[in-house]
Amino acid sequence: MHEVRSRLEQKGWYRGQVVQEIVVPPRPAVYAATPPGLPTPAQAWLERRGVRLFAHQAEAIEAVLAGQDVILATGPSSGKTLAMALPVLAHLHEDPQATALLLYPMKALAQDQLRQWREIGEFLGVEMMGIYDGDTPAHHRPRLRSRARVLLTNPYALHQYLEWHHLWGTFFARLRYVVVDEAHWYQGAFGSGVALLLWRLKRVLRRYGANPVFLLASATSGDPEGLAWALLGRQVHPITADGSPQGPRTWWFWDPWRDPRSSTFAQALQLAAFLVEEGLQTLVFVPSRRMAEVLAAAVRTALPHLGPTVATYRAGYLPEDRRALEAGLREGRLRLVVSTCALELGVDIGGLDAVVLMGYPGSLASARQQAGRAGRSGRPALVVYIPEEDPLDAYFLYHPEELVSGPVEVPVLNPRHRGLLMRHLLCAAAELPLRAEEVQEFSVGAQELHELVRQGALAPTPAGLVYAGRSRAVDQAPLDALSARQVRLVWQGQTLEVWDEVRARREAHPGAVLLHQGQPFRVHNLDLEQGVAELVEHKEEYVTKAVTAETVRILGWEVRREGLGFGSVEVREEVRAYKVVERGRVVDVRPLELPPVEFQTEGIWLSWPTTWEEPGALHGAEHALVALVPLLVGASAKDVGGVSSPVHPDTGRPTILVYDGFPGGIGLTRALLGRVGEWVQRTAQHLASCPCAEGCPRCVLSARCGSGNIPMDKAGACALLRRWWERYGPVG
Amino acid sequence: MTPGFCDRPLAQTEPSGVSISTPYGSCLLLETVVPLQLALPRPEEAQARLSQALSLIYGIGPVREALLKAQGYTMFDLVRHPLYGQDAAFWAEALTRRDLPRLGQGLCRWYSASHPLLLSLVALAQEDDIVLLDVESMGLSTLPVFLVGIGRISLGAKKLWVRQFLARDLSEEMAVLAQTQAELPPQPLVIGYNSKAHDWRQLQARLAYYGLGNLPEAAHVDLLFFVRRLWSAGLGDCSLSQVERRILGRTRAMDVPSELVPLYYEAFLRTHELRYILPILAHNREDVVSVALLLGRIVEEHARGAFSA
Repeated sequence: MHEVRSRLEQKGWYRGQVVQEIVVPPRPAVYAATPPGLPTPAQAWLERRGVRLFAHQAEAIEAVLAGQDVILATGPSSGKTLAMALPVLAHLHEDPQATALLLYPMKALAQDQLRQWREIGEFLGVEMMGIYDGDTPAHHRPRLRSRARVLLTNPYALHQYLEWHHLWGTFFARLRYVVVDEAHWYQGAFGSGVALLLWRLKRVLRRYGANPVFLLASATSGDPEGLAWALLGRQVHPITADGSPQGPRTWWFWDPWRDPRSSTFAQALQLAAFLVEEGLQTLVFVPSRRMAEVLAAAVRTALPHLGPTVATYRAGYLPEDRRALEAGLREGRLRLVVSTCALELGVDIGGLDAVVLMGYPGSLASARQQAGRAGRSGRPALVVYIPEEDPLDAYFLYHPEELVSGPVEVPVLNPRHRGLLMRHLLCAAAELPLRAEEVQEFSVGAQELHELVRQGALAPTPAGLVYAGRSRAVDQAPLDALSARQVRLVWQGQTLEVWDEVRARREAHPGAVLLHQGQPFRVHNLDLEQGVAELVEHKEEYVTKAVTAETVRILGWEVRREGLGFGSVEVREEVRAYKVVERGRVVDVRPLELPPVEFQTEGIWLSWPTTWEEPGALHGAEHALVALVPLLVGASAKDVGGVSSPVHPDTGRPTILVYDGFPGGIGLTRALLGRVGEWVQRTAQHLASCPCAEGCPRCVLSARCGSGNIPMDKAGACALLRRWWERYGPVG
Repeated sequence: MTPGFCDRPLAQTEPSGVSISTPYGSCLLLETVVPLQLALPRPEEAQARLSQALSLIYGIGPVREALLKAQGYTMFDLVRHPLYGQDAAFWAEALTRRDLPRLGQGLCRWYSASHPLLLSLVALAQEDDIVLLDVESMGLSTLPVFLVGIGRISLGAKKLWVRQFLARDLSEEMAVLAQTQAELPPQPLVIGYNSKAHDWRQLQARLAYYGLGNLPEAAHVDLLFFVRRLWSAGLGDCSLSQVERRILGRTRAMDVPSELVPLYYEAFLRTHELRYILPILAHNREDVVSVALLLGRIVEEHARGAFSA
């Protein structure tokens, strides 16, 4: 990569943007002997293929053979599929009755995985594998249910099928393995719903006398055991020591602000073209579908001779088109692919020479996953990181070693979320009569049950509580949302997205401009009664920004320490008006009359033992703290909100309060509680390392701020956080 | 027609049934007897027709069937055939044993769910095996069942017995299901309206829900398929009420529309007022009667040669 760098430096347009270069030395493979317990045919398959097992694969295989639940959390292309498929299929070969259920978060992934499972299965003589989801033709279904040995599906589909369990009786009674792939995907509201779905699955399986082993595969995660515990409610054997080899990898940290006259997009274009000209097969990750299309088109215009070797990749392509793209990448025919995060998942495309991350993908787990696409059989690879104008993005420009090798954030999910729990409890009651001890497992009180009976949702019978609602229970429990109250974003009669009501009130107020897959739309009308936001196409240049006012009251202290509190809070958010912003300038402020959004959630608050702190300093510290929450927990900064006040009525002191933006709380602030010292320290460090003088969008300025980032004092914010950390941090 | 039946007064003060107990609690049983004139083909005739259903044999299609039929071959003759013998023996045995579920499945698979051979199957069946079915529930798919209406035919006595099992609240659903299960013969021939896809599946789902086991293996003659075949062009919408009015020429005095049945039952659960449950009981009973009359009408149409048109 040395020569590439020197040739880059000779380019006329280059302005010294590579401010950091980190070379990660190659990592040799760690092999282990094939576990002796692995049945002979499976060993024969390994021999035939000439596969030597990496240490983590051998460990996983051994654990599975011993009947242990496993979570395998290793890097991309480390052979996780093999480590699970081989022992499972070997068992299915020995026990011709046994079956296995495989869960993937997305339909497209199941297609890809089916091929890999089939390949091993055919060798071992385990036939009858299939995908069973919404796309499966009705006339194939009975045969699959009664004959299949391995079925691949997704959580959305399983959520629908569980109440038809008697049709699955044969398959369920013989179920020995449940494989949950891409387990790191199950976070936040979706992950919490999936955890409850897995509880329901286990409950139904008990009726059929099945108690399968659970195998979870995940990308590198901050706390795989914790993730497995949250998803399954039990201790799971974690395997994290990645034994797969890695070639030398060079990271470039690209500071786009070195060239103030050229946009990030223009620089990415130049860089991508340069890398392809250098003969490096390159993959560029971009945040939106639209940008993928635009960037690819721009490269084609700039370098017309590349023509068909430049392509885009995103979700929503037809399976055969995706297959062709993946093959093109593997075989090297495609030289440049611009992709959304769709290529982050376990799709087999081989290794590339260079990967460009345009913008921080939101989590270290994702960033590592994307960077992991670079590198092929020990050859040197290049990863370029180009931050966008955002504190989190900038943080990693100033702390590059953290992006390369820092600890990954902790996944957050909360299957005990009250609203979610009650809805899944009704689903469970619709699947099998609910018994008293099952209800106790979730500490649902007699009072709450009585209320459900009174409403007619449940009815007491000699067999237990029976679901008695008028519509299907699963239709009232969307898997990826916290509240049953939803707002559909409708354009020309077609539903583009479905949002939680709280989010819709914040972001889909009348007049709001919003992006759907990179395409701008404007909200024409918001009808909360009907749960519909009508959209029109937005052709004008302007964007909108809601002017909000939040007040947060503390309802109960679960943790009360010097300088720190945690507990339940009540949030009142009011969208009072919205600004019309054209080319960065506010051209109009239009008032709104919307009822305030009120909800209870969890919050964490920091306070100072003084009688007064500067509002500007508190404000800046609040913004920076909120922006950097994703450093510690698996969430987006949008999922939390913050308020600051020189004297908060419930603490009587200068206070910054950060709350979980999901009504009822999804566990984000609870996860912060254990790492609050680190959180404050890293935020303070970030403010210190940002080179701006007065505060900029890379540190304390927030585009979401309801009060237009006024007042603001960056230096004060930094000092304030330092003082808190020196006083309480090392202890906390 | 069933003179007098529709005018049966509803001015009772309580459902005139008896409480019956099952191992899973009690439920209410209501019995009604209705005169019924039904002409079915003679069993021997039916047997002869079915023995010529040669397409049941794997490898025989409509063309070869016609050819073999023309030469006078029956299932029993083909038992000795080198190629078809094994399959023919299987079906011949089913015919001899009057294995209705097996024959029914074969006919639906190799012919169609509205093939007149299914009417021969009805004629072949013992009276005790014929079950007319209509289920009332809280809604679609897997929601609770609260009323099951079962009709039994006596051709000799020219009567239809309607037995209805009602859950007076949802805690009695299990008893209704268990009683239905007990009521069914070991190999029933189930006749209903959309009963194959809906009523029967829903009963099975609810039995499984409570862990009460399976329904017996059944042959299904779902009249909806016949109505679609014979009259769909003229009817537009093939709902049973439409069929009653337009095909059977019956009208109901005070009927609950099917889609309101769950609402009425909910109101009954809340208030325990009879004015909500009596119309449902009548509705269900009328549905069973209509199924019986419709069967008669379809058999007539067949005799008149409407199926070959």
